[in-house]
Amino acid sequence: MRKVTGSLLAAVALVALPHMAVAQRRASAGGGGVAKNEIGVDLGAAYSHYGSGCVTSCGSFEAGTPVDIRWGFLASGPLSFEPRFTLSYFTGLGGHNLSFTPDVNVLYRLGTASARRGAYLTGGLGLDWTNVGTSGTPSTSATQLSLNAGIGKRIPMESNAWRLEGFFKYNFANTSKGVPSHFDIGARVGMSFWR
Amino acid sequence: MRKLFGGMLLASLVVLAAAPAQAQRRATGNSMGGAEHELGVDLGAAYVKPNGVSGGLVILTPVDVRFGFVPRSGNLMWEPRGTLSISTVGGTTTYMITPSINVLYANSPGGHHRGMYLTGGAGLVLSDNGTNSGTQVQLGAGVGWRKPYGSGAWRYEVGFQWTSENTTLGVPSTIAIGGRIGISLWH
Repeated sequence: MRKVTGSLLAAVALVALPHMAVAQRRASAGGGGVAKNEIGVDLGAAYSHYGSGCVTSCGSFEAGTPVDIRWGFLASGPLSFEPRFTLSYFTGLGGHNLSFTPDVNVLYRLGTASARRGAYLTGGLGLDWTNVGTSGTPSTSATQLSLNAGIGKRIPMESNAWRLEGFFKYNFANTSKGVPSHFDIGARVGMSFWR
Repeated sequence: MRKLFGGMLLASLVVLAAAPAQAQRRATGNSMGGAEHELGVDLGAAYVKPNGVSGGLVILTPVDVRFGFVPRSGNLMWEPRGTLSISTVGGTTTYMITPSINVLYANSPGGHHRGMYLTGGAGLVLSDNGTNSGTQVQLGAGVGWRKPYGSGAWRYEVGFQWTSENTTLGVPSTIAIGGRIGISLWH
């Protein structure tokens, strides 16, 4: 129950942070352009290494697109919030498989960078929540907490920008559910659009 | 491997098919807003029914990456869509690549920025499950709407998709009926 409560609190924090960013943007008089959101999709690649007692084939490589949906809330200051998430739900054959991965990152602009160009640092908190059920048996849920950090750069391209980001992500173990810890080192390359 | 190369060749053709649309846009002089591309991401939901197996519900986001080439004139627009997933664990590599191309026909006054459109498309599912590899063909059709949202637009689409079987992979043919809701942004 404590873990469920902890997960719920983390989820509430993930939802609340972007609203704080919106409030910050509304309160600020300075302009960063008329755009409100930065929306983008990326191609990502990462090396993953599993811990928590893994003894063989502990490393893996994964690449793919789209990585997730990232929806940033622009702010006049150097800090901005960017929720990211994926959702997949399959049901059939008497069972189901649900995966939901909400995450919120803070982006801090470096030097003379603006919201549309230049380098930034980022760090974030995320959850990987899964629920699996098969016919005749009760469904089981597992939540894995993750922390990530990275450095990136926006490169303007007409009215949009290419965005490159290198990152490190640590996924904590959930021993009671048998989910091992693992870390990812990788990069994502994508395009950002503003609205 | 031969199937993979064959699939990649077809994927290249899918990408090349979009080039004439870009050439058409560059050749025409009159403007319809100046945007060149429409990029979007969606949440999709569908009832999926494999042949010979009971069906089920699938909900997914992001569905794929769609990158449309907006013509400056004309009712037709080309829109490549795709996903890519590659994984290597313990020396075994699995992948799934799904290139496709859709044609969007918009006859409304809003052109390719607002209003209703019809769409149809074809694509491939190139996959390797670590033991076997193979290619499936996808055909789809649908109807959609764009609703302006700031400088972007919400996009709703409902449609039908058929995917061929592949005996090598042991995958039956599948039909899917559903929709996708997402946001489109232009540049």
